Amino acid sequence: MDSSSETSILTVGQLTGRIRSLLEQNFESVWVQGEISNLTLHRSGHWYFSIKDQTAQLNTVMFRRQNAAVAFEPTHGMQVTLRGGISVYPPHGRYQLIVQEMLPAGVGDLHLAFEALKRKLEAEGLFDPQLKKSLPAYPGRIGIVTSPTGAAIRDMLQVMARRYPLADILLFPARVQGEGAAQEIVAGIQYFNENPCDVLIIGRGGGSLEDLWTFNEESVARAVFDSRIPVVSAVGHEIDFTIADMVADLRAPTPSAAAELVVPDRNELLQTLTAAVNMVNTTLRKKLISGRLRHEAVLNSYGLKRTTLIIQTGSQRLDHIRERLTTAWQNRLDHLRTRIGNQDDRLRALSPEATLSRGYSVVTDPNGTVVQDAASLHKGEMVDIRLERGRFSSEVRKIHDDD
Amino acid sequence: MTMTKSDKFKDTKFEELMTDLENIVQKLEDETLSLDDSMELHADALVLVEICRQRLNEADQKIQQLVSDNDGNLEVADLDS
Repeated sequence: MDSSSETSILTVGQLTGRIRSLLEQNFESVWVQGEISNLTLHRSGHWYFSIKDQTAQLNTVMFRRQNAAVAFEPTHGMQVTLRGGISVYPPHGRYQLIVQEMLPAGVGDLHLAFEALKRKLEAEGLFDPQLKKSLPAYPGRIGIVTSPTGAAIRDMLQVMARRYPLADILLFPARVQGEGAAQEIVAGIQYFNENPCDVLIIGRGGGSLEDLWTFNEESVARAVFDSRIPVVSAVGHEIDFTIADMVADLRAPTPSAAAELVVPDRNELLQTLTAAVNMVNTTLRKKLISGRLRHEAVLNSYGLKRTTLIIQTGSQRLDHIRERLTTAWQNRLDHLRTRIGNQDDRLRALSPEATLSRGYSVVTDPNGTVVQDAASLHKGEMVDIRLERGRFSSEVRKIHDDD
Repeated sequence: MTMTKSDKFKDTKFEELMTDLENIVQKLEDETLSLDDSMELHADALVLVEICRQRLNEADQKIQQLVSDNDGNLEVADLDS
C-alpha cells in the first residue's frame, strides 16, 4: 500500500472494493472439497449453500447457468469437490465461493488427479502436436491393445473387415479397467514396439470416469509417448477425453472411428485405381496425338520439302555424271584398242615367220645355232634349213669364199 | 504376361505398390516426358493397377491374438471371430 492510502480515510464501499479485487485476483480459480450444508435451491434457479469441514466453513453460490451442467442433485451432507473463484458480496460484507463446477467427492479426486497429470505432462511436452507421428496410408499390420471380449474389439474388427481386409490384425488382450489394467496396456504397447506393426490402436468402449481411469494413468501416457509406432487412442464415446487421447498420435472418438481412421476403404481405393487408369490412358492418348501432329507437321515442313528437292536434284546430277563417265570410258577404251591393233601389226612384221614368208630361210648347225657366217661351216657338215612351211636337212658341199 | 509380373510383385507391400503407382502417374503428367518413356510407364502403371485391384479383391483378413502359454510366454494364435 502506498502512503496516501494509510493516511486517507476510505469509505466502507472503497475498502470492500479493494478487498474484493484482492481476493478475486488471488483466488480466481481454485478447487476445494467439503461437505454441503445449509443448502437452498432457490426459485431463481441459483443454489446457495455452505461447504465445510471440521475446522472451517465457506459460503458458496452456484448460479443457474453453471449448475445446469451438474449431473446430480446436491443434498445436505454430501461430499463434493468444487471449482470456482472467491468473491465478496459487499451488501453483507461476506466473501464467498462462486462455483463454476461441482463433482461428487470421489470423482472430484479423480478429476483433480486428472487435471494435475494433464498439466504436468503438457508442461513436459507430451501433447506437442509437432511430435505426433503420421499414420501409414496403407497399413499392412495393425496392432490392437484392448479387451478381447468387449464391444470395442468387435466393432473394430467389423469395420476393418468391411473396409480393408488387406491388413493383418494382431490383438494384444488386455484388461481395460480396474487394478492391473494399466500395466497390461503398457505391456501391449511395448510388445508392439518389439514386434512392430504399422500402427497401434489402444482403446475401449465408453464408461464412467472411473471406468476410463486406466487411460488417464501416467504409465499409459508415457508408454504411448515413448512408442515408436504411431498410436491411435480410441476410448469411450465422443465426449470422454483421456490423457491417453492427448498423448496419442491420433485420437478417435470411438473404437469404430479408430478403425475407420486407421485403414483406407477398399471401394474408394478401387475407384482411385479406376481413376488412375483413366488418367494414364488419357495422358498417353494426348501424347500420341501430339506425337502424330508433330510427325505430320514435319512431313509438311518446308525443310523436309526442300530436302526432298535437293535429293531429287542430286539424283539428276548423279545420272548425268554417270552418263558422262560411261561415254568417256567407252571413248578411252576404243582409243586404247586402236593403239593396241597398230602395235600388233608392227610386231607381226618383225617376227621370223613374216621374214620366212617373204622367201628367206634359216640355217642352223647340228648344235641348233643359227648360222650367220659361212666360214663357221665345214664341208660335209649337216645343216638344218627351215622354210616358211616345213624344214629339211642338207649337206655342206662347198664353202664359197667370195666375200 | 500379367501372371509373371504379378509374381514379381508378390512380396511387395500394398503401400509400396500404391506409392509406385502414384509416382508413375505423376511422371506421366510431365508434359516433357518422351513418348517412348510414356508408353513404358503407361504399361507399368496398368500392371500395378491390376495387381492392386487383385489384392483388394482377393484380400482375406488374417486376425490373430496373443495368448500366454503355461510358462507365461506370449504366442500368436488365430482368433475365432
